[in-house]
Amino acid sequence: MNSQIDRLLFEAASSITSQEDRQAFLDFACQGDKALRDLIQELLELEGGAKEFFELEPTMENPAPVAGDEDSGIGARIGHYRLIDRLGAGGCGVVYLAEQQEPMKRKVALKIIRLGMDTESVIARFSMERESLALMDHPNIARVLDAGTTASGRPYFVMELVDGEKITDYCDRKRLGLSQRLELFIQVCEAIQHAHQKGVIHRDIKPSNVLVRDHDGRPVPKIIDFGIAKATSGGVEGEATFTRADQFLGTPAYMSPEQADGSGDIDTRSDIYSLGAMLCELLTGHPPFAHKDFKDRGVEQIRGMLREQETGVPSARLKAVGGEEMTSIAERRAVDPQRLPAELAGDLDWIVMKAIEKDRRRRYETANGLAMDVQRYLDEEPVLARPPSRRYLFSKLVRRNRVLFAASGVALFGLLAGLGVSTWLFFLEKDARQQQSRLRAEAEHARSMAEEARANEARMHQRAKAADVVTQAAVFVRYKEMDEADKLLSGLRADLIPASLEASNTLVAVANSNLAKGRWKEAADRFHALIHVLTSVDMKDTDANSREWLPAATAISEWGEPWQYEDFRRLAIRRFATSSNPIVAEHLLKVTLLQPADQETLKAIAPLAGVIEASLVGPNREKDDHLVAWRQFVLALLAYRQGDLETAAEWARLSSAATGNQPRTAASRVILAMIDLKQGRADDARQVLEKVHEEVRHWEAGPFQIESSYRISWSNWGVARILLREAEGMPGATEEKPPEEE
Amino acid sequence: MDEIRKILEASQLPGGLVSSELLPLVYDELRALAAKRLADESVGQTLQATALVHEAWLSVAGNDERIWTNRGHFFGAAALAMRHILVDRARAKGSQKRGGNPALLQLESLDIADVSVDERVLMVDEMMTRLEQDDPDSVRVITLKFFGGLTNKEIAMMDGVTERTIERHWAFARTKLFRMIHQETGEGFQG
Repeated sequence: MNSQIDRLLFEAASSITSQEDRQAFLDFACQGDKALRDLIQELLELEGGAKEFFELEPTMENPAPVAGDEDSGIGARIGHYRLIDRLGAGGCGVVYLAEQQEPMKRKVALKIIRLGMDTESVIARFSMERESLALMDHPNIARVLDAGTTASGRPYFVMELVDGEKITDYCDRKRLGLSQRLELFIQVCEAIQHAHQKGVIHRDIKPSNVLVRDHDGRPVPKIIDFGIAKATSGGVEGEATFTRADQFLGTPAYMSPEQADGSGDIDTRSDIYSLGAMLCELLTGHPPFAHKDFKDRGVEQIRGMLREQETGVPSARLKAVGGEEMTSIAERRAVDPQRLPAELAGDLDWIVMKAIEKDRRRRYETANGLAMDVQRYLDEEPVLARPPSRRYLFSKLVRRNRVLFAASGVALFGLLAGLGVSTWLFFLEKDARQQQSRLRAEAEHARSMAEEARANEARMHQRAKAADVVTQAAVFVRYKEMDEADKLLSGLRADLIPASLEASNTLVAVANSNLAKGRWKEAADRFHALIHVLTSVDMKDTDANSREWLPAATAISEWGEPWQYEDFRRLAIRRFATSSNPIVAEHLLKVTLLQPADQETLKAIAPLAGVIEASLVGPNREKDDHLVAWRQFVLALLAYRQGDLETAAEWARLSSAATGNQPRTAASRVILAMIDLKQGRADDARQVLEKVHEEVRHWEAGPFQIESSYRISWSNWGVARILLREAEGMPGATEEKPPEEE
Repeated sequence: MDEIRKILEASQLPGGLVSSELLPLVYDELRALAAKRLADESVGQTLQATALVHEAWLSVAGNDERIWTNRGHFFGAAALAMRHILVDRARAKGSQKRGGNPALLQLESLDIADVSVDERVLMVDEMMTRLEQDDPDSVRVITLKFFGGLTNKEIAMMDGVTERTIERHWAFARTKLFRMIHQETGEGFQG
């Protein structure tokens, strides 16, 4: 059937009023096509009825009050809620003012998700998140109270009712200046930090999800929609931000590149990006990418933009806006248009840029870190975020140390804990067969959760505080205020210090500064803390990591508490005892054998001897004399500690014959002397020990240098001195004289 | 509302096409407006779909000249949205009547002369869906006329044709659709 022809024929025929003419026309036009002629004939007969049928316009009736489940009419009931008024429409749904009927009467916000979302999976995802959402309790976070399905099958969420306006509108209307805006922003960051610590990522931070109202004359922000972005994201994590038609839900203006990419690998740092984009808008009137930048672009293009296109610093972009718009932007901030770019240039530019780094590892690690930097700006203190020239130095440090930034240590911890629990609950949820035991388990779980949550919170709080202190100390170190930095760090418990590059660099700097000033005990404490940092970051098996160990071990062994050395030895073994890297193996043996070790320790590190021995033979053997001599030294030390004096002597002789490092040679000779003592050659031993003693005294007499002009670390001498002291304490080491009282 | 205005201001689509960003906004707007109007009236009052669309239009456009030129675009979206809204409502009500069983309408058992407004909407929708593939132009005209309540003149302006053309097309489209209903419901009906 060709509807074009049908239509033409029908229209032509119906305009012919005479029956006779009409029949003649159809006979002619249809040319013997009986089916076609019958069809047109039938249509012509039905024409009048059709007109009548369509005359009645479609109408809507006022639903009877009991009808109840028409899902979005005002006055309708949904679950325990009655819709009172429509508050507005967002990216993925409509929000209503509703009244909760039971268990208590109160007003709430009810958001009905737009049609086209898979209700079942939205609700399922929400259930998984529910427990962690319930843990959030913060004055600046709107609570999500409930979720369900309307009669027509659309998912809905019930939230605490928030009375306020979009943060950007509020600031503009009130003509808040930059510092007032920043103070407000800090409050937002703190709320997000709280959520992150409870394991909840928002995923859709943007001005319209941050509502502000006045409370006692002060603006109070409230973040809404927690947990909803996650629940309404696509079935597979990867489709997070796209509808089935592959279109962005909402605006990508505040979306991190990794979230836009849909890789599904999203962590708290994605929220940091959104916070940065929002900060940019609060300051300059536009997010880093303006809404118009995305117009008429496909999803792939937008992803590419977010991934690769540089935005330029906020002050420069503001200057480019210029003219009238700039004037009105400045006016809304109560700033002289001429001065606004200058006010943003520098620190504020860099804070925004650090928050919206495309590579999330270079962003602020936590919302708290971002807030602190903003606070530093407000306090006119130097900020952490710096222009690339300085960041370049920083990244060089990163490369040199290969200590990767921990993935926002504090928040990640909370995140993992939260996910584990909610996944478990999800499966629990599914098991309907054992309803009773499920209920019991849930009750017990809720109780233990509450207890755990309290303990967790205290721990998180301590960690967050420790992270703050480390960051402040890092700032002091940068400005060479070592004593101030040391003072800050001295009060920290080693196990609370965040595992980050910032922390490790700061600790090394402060420890060395203490050494240079002869504050041995303090140096040992900092090194002890450093080992906690170095061994708790997930790193590759590289020697760059273990390099800091010898000074640390030496300092701790010399000046620290005995338990600190034991603690250090335990951590080091746990982290690296299975290494197959001969340099790491050498470092580990050296630092763990500075003091006599028990059988368990010796057993744990014994395999490393094989790694080292293997590196000394064959075509690929180590050719660097310096490295070879150190390896021979540790093999000697290990054999000595194991009681295999013959092997120990063999290696020690080889090592002591090598030149180029006086303290190493001295230490090797001390091992030989100790063997002599055990085998009854006390005279030989004493001769050697006296000589080494003199060398060590000579080193001590000179000025303390972290590294000598011959590039020998102080810690090499430290090793020699520690072993010498051990040897001198052995029977027969000192001639006839009874040991003096100290 | 502002978002709708923005899209309309920027819209350069040729007559008849509806941009995907506009549709959901208009949809929400209409639903809200309907809910509000109905809440104001006493039980049993009816609200004409076409009146609703026109009211929504006035509240969006006001006297804004720039937007008035894109009136057709708005009405196109509004008609599509109205179709969804009316069908949703009719289905929800129907399923209530049938004890919550949202089974499809049993067309064979219906007497066309006696059908309610809601049943009429469901029948038209069902047939439009069947017709879509074969004759999308007619489906569009039905959408604009029946659900959107546009006058022939308005559609003629949108499409750049004469009013008479639209009138004839509408007559054809509605007759064709009516025939389909007629066939479905059997012979029990007197034309």
